[in-house]
Amino acid sequence: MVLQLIGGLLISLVAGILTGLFGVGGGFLITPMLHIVLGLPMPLSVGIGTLNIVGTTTSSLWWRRKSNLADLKLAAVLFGGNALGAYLGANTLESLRLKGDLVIRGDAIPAADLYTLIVYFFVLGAIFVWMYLETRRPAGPTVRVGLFARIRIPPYARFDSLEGPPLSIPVLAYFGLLLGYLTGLLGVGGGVVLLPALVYLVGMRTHAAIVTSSVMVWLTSMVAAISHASAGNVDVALLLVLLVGGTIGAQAGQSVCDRMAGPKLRRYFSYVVLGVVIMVLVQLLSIYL
Amino acid sequence: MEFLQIVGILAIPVVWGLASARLIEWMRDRKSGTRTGGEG
Repeated sequence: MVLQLIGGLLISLVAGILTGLFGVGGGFLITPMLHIVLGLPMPLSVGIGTLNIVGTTTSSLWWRRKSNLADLKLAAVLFGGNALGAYLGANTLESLRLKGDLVIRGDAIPAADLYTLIVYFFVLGAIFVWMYLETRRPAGPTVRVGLFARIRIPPYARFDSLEGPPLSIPVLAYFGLLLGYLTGLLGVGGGVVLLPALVYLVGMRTHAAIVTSSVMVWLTSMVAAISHASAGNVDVALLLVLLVGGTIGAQAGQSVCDRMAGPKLRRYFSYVVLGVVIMVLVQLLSIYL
Repeated sequence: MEFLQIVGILAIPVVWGLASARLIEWMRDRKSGTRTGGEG
């Protein structure tokens, strides 16, 4: 138990630094680490990870409350789909948990653990490839226009933080639904997907995207946390340890973020994602080999 | 899980997040205030 708490503290310190640095909740790192390193069942890891994200992003938002960079109108449109997605994702995980074990090469593997790891691998792998290619492209024009600006499905809305044409509200709402589903299923705050999406798909500047993604991550994690707490996927002692480590790490990350340029932040962020992809792949190979 | 238990669990990260952020902010203000006083 003590070793588990010490391990949890170390994991949360690293994840906290990422929270302060990139505006992501650190859940994409904490949840697989709780499962792989500490050996917790995936539904419990997801539940604790989600509640921890609520804590770390509460701190992060408090620090950024005077920045005025958050696009609350955009966050509200995304959250329309997000809340429903988070509820559906958490319910999917609960169904997988009730499914019990799968037998692979004579070993019993919980279905929830296996399916969640596979989805983790593909989602994070795709994000890494995308970010890797983007950070190596030559600098683009001054006015950023995201990919979503090319999809023309009415009605549209104009957002203060964006310089391009108005964006389709249905596209943003369905994108929010997908993000929310990943939050409920994987225990990621959504920031790991949302941050690059706000920069590349929506066309926001990096620092504005970080603050807006923090607002979104907080809201979505809260919805997912309600579902997971209802299902009993909570360990209060471990949660408290994660919160302490996460808060200390977030302050360190925040001070570094203020001194770094956007492109540099994105490059480092892609390396962090790659590290988690490799970790998940090793875990999956250990099941099948 | 009962409703009050769920509310209690949800309150843990929110209260911790706010309390720790305000504590660190207070410590930073105190530190910068001391520095200004020293320079003055």
